[in-house]
Amino acid sequence: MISRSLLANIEVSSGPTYEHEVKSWTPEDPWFATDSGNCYAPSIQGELNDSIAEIQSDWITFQRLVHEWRTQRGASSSISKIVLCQAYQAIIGMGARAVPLILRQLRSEGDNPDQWFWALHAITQEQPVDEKDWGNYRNMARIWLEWGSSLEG
Amino acid sequence: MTRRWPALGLPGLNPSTSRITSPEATYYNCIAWAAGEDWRWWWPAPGVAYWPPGVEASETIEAFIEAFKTLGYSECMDGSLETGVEKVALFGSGPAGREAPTHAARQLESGEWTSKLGPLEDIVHSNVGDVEGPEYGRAIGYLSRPRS
Repeated sequence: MISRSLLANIEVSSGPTYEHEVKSWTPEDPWFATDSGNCYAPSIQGELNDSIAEIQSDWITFQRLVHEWRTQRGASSSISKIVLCQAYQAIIGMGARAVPLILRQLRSEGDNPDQWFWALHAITQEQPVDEKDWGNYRNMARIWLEWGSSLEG
Repeated sequence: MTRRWPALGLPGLNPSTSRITSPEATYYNCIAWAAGEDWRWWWPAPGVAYWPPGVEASETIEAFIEAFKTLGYSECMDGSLETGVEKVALFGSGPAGREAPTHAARQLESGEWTSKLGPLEDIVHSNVGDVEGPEYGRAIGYLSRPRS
């Protein structure tokens, strides 16, 4: 199992296109760089590498599903239709492993947050957003990211 | 990107019928945009989206009509241009009489219509029917209120 603190040490920034990311990714790729060389002792490097490989695999899978979901939902406004897309359901099906990936994706989206709140609630059964903020995705993103940070602390 | 529209089930949209008026934005939708907002997502989905208090949270045309009534709209016959009147068209797809809501568009003073395409762009289109097709079905109801 990958710890949340370990995941927190893997920095993801917006990079080139999805296809390029998947086809060309290497551990040295700056869009998915780690600071493992400075932060972790050699004795745990093997375990760390296994964990990083697992995270990298999850992230690549997640990004593929995000790409597919955005294609599948098209121009729909219907939340029921949007969240029932096969790719979105597959993200939910990743379970707890998807939560840090979704939060990282949400953080990367900045002021244009996408529809991750249904998945976060479905997976975690948490609802940190008050009713007054339902639909206000910028506020909802901030609140869910604060929720995620509170778990890391 | 206009070239995507036909592939998205919007065959009536092309550069001669419509123009893009905003960047893509995932944080508000067509219902919000028709209601005059560009900062939150309207849909009867408790916990995820805004829905006017007191209106049944159900995906029915009746509930969507009630949602717009909270803004001073009332049902009207059609989408013809009337001076001093603001109109909204509701779209739905499915069996006649039991259509599921899919989209809303708002009429501009010019007689053109403005639509937010789900998580994509805002557009202005010449005719209300320009956004009819596989994605949104057809315009099945209209509401109006005095233009402020």
